[in-house]
Amino acid sequence: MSTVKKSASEQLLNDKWDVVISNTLVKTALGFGFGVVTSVLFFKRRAFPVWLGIGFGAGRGYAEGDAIFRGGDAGVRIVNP
Amino acid sequence: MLRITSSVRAASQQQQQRVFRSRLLHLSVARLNVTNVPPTSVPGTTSPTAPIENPTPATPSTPNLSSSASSGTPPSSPASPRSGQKKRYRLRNLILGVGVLGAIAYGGGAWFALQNDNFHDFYTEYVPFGERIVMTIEEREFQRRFPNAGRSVDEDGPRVTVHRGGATWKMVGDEYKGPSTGPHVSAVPKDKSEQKTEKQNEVAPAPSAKPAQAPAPAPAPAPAAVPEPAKPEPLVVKEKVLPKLPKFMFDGTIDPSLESVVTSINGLFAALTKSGEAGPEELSALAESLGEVSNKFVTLRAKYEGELKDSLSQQALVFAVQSEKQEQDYKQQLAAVDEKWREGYFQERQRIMDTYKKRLIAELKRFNQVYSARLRNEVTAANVEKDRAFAEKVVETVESERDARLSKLKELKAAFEDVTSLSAQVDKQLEIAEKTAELQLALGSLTNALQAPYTVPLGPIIARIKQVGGEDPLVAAAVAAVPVSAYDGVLTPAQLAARFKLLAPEIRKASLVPADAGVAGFFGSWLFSRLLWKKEGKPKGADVESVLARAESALIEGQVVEAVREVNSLDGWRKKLAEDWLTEGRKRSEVEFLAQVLGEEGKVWQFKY
Repeated sequence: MSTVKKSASEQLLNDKWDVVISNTLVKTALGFGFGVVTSVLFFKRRAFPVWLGIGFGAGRGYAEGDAIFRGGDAGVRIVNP
Repeated sequence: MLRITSSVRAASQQQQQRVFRSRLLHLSVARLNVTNVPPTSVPGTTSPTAPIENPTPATPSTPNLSSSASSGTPPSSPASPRSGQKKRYRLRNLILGVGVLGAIAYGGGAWFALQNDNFHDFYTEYVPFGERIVMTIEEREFQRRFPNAGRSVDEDGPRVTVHRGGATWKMVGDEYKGPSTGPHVSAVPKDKSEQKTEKQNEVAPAPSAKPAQAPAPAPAPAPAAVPEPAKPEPLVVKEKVLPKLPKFMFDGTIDPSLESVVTSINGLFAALTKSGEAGPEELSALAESLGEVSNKFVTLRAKYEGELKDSLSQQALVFAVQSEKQEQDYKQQLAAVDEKWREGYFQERQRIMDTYKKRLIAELKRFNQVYSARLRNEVTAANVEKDRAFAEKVVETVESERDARLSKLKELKAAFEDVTSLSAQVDKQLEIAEKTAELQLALGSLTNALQAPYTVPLGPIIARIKQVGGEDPLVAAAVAAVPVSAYDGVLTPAQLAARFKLLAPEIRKASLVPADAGVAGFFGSWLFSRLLWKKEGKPKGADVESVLARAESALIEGQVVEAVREVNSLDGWRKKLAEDWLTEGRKRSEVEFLAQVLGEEGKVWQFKY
């Protein structure tokens, strides 16, 4: 069982930033992927679904980042030990 | 039909342009008032027109120019009067325009000034004649609204006239006859003739003649009514005032000889109640009856007096005889009693004397006995006393002899006790001194541990201090106050400073974070905090940079407490980031403080006893 090492308090924000940035990247990538798929399948390879997907992903990432900084843990999946 | 193609279109366009340009040229030339401009034939106007339009010599586009060109009228004559007219018109137009615009501006300004207060102030102050206009307009408005304002009140209302009442005035001169005889002079009622003359005489020295006449007849009838004297009327209500008088009843308790009196009184009362007046016959009847009664009374009294006198004298004689006899008897009795008493008295006297003698003898005897016994006692007492004194003296000498040696023994004992107590004290002092030394050692080790350049575990040192100085309540309290986490050791100031160097940039990144910030807030803070000046030394101020600078300089000087205080003054995210550092710093400062306290206590211990 791996124990989570508690980092020093000065690294608190850095940890949060790590989570936020990684989360945003992942979500943006996911949005991009979905956008590509949708564009190929339904929209005749137009450009706009991809942008839409990127926007969705980035927006989700930003919103969850906001929540993380404000004290919630949206975007963070808590694994039961 | 006309067939216009694009090329033809272009050509016509070109031609139109040329025409326009020529017109412009002409107009400008005319404006310049150049008269000798020959009617130049516009180049290219005639040749292309024929094939293009209907082959009529007169084309719609050219006739103006050609007519003007070919009319041959000198351009100067239309030009100069036209320019002169234009000039005149220009002036007129200018004046008219200025006038109209000025009127509009003034009027509009005045209207707007009436609507808006600020504009009104500006208008009245800066625009010439603005104030006059506005005042005129306002006055007109006011007049329109309140046409009657300013005039006197009730001009058309009911007119009230004051009667002069025939009062005229006349210069008081030689015609003055003296004061009038009105009621203000004398209250004597006037004769009618005088009144009449005064009425008819309009010319009066005083204008109050008329009002004086009104009160003059008034008091005249009034005194006539008053002086009627009121006669005193006789009292006729006596009947009602009198009480109802009783009627005496003759019922046998009263002596029968008074019967006549009673009847006469009854008659009197009856007369009184009936008429209210007492007639003379009743009164005389009453007097008669009273006289009869008094006569009867007098005769009876004389009779009884005579009888009483006789009986009294008889009684007196009888009493005198009896008293003589009694007196003699008493005398005899007295003599007998007297004799008896004398004898008894002598016997008694004798007896008393005998008894007294006997008693006296017995008394003497006893007294002698007692006195001799007392004397004997005294002698024996003196003897006893003598013996006792002797014995006492003996004891005394023995004791004094003994005491001298005994006191020495006591002194010795006291000295011995002193010595034992002193030695006990010395032992105690030594113990305390030993303990103090141990405590100092332990405190010294604590101070050394705090001043060491690396972390030293404080647990054993604290235990040693507790062991040595635990009885002292202050030491015990200080030892108990050391936080448990400090037993493993506290960071040195250098270590704290190093950690602070890691902490400061993080705090700086969060220095501009607003409350309840999200991604944008944190990103903005990170970005703009890089633009903040980095401060040094001990700047005053509550912003993050000043706080960090002050903490830094405190750490450089080794004052952990100050640094912790400064960092503690941060708030929000910055404090949250600094929490770990703060706990370490607090531990260190607490231990420092307690060590200081213990050091002071150790110093005090030396002077305790």
